[in-house]
Amino acid sequence: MNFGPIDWVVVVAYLAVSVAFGVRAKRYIEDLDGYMVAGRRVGASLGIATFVATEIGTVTFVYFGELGYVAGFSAFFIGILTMIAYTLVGQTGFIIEGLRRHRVMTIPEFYELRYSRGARLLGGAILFLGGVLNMGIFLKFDGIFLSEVMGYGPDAVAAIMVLMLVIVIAYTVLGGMFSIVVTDYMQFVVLSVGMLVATVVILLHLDVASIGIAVTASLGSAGLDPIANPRFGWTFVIWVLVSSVAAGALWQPGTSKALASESPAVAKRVFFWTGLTFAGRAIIPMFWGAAALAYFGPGQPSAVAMPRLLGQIVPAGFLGLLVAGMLAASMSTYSAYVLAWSTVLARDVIACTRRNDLPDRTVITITRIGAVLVGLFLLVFGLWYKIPDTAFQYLAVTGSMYVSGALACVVAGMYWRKANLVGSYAGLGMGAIAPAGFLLLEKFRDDLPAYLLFITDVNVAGLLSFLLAALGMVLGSLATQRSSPPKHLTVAEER
Amino acid sequence: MTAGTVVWLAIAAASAALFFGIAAVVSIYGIRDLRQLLGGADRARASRQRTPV
Repeated sequence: MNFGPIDWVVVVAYLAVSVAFGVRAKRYIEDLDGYMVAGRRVGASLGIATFVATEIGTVTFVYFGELGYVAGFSAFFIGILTMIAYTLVGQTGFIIEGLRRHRVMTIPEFYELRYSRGARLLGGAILFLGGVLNMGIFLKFDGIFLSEVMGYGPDAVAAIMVLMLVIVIAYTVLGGMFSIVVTDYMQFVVLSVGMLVATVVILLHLDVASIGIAVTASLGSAGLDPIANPRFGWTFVIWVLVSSVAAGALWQPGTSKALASESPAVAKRVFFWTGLTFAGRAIIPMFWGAAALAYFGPGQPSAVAMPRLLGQIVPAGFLGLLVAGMLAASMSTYSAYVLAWSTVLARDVIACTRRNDLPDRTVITITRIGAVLVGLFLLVFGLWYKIPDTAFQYLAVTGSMYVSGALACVVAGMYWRKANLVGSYAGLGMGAIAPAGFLLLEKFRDDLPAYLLFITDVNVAGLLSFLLAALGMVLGSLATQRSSPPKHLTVAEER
Repeated sequence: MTAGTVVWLAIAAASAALFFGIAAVVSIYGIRDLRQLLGGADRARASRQRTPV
């Protein structure tokens, strides 16, 4: 057992303070804007803190640590490409500035402004499905990480999953975006300290040269060169670059941080500075994974190796701080994601099946019920589903199910006058086909005819989703300009 | 260590420095933003309570 009484005191104290702050923030909610986007009054530094906290969960450490363990330094390019993509979005205001100017709360709202309510319903349903599937493995990986670090082993995974879920859902349902912003700041500070502790302890136990030598000895050139690594290659590199730009601008939990900013200029600043942290967000846990390779050698279960290393070398007291940091990371991520997906369910799916908008109170109630249901799904899915390939690739392909179509619809909607309703349906539908095909057919890889085997390659399915979505938007729009004339945004809609 | 290893390690060190540097600055200035956000929300609540319906 690695986890001592001092560690428990640190973790319980942190949890108590965090939940108390989250629940207390409930008094600031006056309306839907307050619940969903914190009244659009979030300043730049706070916006950066909550954005980083949202995009770093324990699952982030696990999937990047796993990549560091199986692919060595060659995985580092993912962090660099993500940094470039997010800073570009921040520097140019690509998409996010327009979305913030239109004062939408969710991305499918833009589809209604530019195309139709039906496009919003379809886009909302795909976003909800892709988002919830994407999040489906978070709880399981968090359970694995914490049970290994704390030394309880695989038997404790389910109990840890249930405990985390109860805490996170409680303050998300009660507090909404206000409680997320308030607690995210605290969690950002705690998770940064936790990351620093883990990095320093690893460097004290393993010298950098031995990690470098272990990577090249175990993996050869595949440990240094992403093109030579059979897990990656050019298809994966291009897919990561395109999907990072798309996710940077259109991933609802992250974009909602920009939409909560006090102005479009602040939204751009938040994206730029957050983007600069994204290389470290990926490379620091990848380095921990490479350290696990040096410490244990190959042969450990890939997702478990890095947490097991931390559990063995981080001293008592600091382990509590590390676990508090990881819990902080997870709570901020879950709360933002659960709120984002339940908001989409309430506003873009359920409300769009009716002719008139639902009252704010009803939307908040549906959002709260949706948050609980999403939480229950995470528990069941996490316990049952066995992910294909690495966790990172699973997350990227489920994310592509939505962002590929969204990229086509929003970019064309903002920057191409000929984009129309048929193009939006075709783009959204065709963007979802390849990832959905991968997730369904991958389980039957051995029974598939040869001509369909390409779809069971996760990298091909991911890249194909963007190509098909763009093709659907362009061909669908051009072929139906007369029967479905494009609708253009009016000045009045740019509130 | 090969040249490739050294380059990747240098990139890792720079990324970590950037991450922790921004984290330190944001931790300090984020408190100010948080106070403004909650202060603004408090003022809005107080003004709503004073306004007769």
